[in-house]
Amino acid sequence: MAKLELRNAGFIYNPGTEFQSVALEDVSVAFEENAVTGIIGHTGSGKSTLVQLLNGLLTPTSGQVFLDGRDIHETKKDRYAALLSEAERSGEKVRRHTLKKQAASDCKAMKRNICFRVGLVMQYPEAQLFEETVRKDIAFGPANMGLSREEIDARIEKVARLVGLNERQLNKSPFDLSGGQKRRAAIAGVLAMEPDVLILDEPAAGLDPKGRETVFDCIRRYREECRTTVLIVSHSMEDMAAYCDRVLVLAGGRVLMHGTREEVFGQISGLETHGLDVPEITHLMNMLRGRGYPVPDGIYTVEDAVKAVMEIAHSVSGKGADT
Amino acid sequence: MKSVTMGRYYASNSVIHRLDPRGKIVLAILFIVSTFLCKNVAAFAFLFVGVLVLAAVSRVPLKVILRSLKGVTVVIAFAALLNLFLTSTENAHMLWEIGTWNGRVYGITEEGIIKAVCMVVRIITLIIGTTLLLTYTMTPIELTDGLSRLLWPLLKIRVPVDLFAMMMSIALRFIPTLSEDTERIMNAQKARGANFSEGGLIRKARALVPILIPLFVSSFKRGEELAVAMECRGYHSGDDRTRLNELHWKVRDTVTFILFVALGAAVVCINIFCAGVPFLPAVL
Repeated sequence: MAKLELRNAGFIYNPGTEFQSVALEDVSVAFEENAVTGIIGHTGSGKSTLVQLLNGLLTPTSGQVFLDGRDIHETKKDRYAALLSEAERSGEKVRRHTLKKQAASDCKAMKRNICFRVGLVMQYPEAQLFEETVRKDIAFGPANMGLSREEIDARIEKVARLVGLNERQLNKSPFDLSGGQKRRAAIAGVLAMEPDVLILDEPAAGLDPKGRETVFDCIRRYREECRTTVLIVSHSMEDMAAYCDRVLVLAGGRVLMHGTREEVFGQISGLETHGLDVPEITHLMNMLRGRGYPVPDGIYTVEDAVKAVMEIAHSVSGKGADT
Repeated sequence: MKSVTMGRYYASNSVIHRLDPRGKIVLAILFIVSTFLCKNVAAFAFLFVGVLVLAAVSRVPLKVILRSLKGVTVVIAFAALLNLFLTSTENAHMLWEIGTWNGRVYGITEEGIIKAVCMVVRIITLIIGTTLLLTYTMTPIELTDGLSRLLWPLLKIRVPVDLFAMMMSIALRFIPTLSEDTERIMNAQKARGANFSEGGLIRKARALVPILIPLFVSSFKRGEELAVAMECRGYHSGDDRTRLNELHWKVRDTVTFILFVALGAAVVCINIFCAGVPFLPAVL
């Protein structure tokens, strides 16, 4: 079963007014557990709307969102019907009144917990920092979850280690940190809620190359340790290629492609007609192949390219030694 | 947030849109005075027709205009009810008597109905007329430009009118930006489980802290960036500044001006000549 799923989801901003605009249309997509999926698309392709639908900030104007197979906006009535049929199937005798109560509390809990189960790091998350110290700021999410003091402290220690913030930085005001540190502190605030699904909207936007790398390393470390499903929205094909297993391409509010990295980047022409591109290095490799070098297909990162080129270089020099 | 229409510019190229902003501000004042000059049903009817003509000429759709009344429906309803029930019943044609309290008879009278209708028409014309002149057909920049030009004489007594005008246009310019910022920050905190709708007053007020602090921080940053950018381009205040869009008083401005004065005069005339029509005190 897919961890998180959209079924025929659509979203319209300001429906029924002259400001009406369709952001997403009939999007059906399933995100597998433990996979890292990259979401790419142009500005206005619906990426940000999509991620806000996934964590319940926005309610789809049509279609549904499922987390672990349950509609996150399920009505009390539907939940009750589901519980009832379940009880009937198992032959259990449950009072209707209890079921109704159960359904109501289920829906309330879903509404409240969706943001904790699907953690969303918004674009430029450092804008959300507000507490006196970084430590307190990271504690904001876990405190809203109603966790105990000890549990919160343990989580702060854990995420601080993961994002690379030391004790001294934790006790500083978030406004005294550098840009990259601020970004990591803000991400830590979401990680501390230990969501099942982590969504990051342009996590590296506006950072220098070193900052980008640090941020992506944090995400990778977190994923390795906590085994979460991760969705990353990005403009950068290079980042997609380096960090994602699967890629979802959005264009004009619809799903253009969704598949493994190889499947998506294999369709250069399809991407190009929508003004998107494959990683630079893939272009370079294709050019080399065009010149007659035996470069293998499906190279998307600089590391792989280096390996491939070195292999060719070795075989050429090996041949050279033979003759 | 994005659907706020009250106080929004409606882009079009009608005659009203092209009028001189200075003139339009004065016209709005003239118009407000006219609505308060109205004393009887005939005058109100005349003014109402005047507003309809203005709306037609401005080419702002009726749907958009009506939306500007949405925010004041409560005020309108309140004024209507008060006038309907609390108009003096002495020497009036009682239509439906409710009862006597403290020696006063309460009920719905013919006069009360007329008064309530007039009051509603007064508020509606007032709002539609001024929003048509000042917001739907005038950009905030034009408004501040016009205002600063009208207040220019104050510069002689050392009131920094130009600085105030600049402050006002910057403030107006940043309202949508700030509301966007607020929405973004609210979403970010909601994603961390912040709850803005539950709890008592104190809890709700405390829930605003995570929004207000980042909002202040970003506003100060924006302010500083803007100041630096303005200084880099050599901004300084003072009356030797030239303008990109010079205001020119044209024939059409004079004509509209005369029309509006005529409208006010007509209202006064109707007040006098149609005195037989049910009377209404001029003050609310």
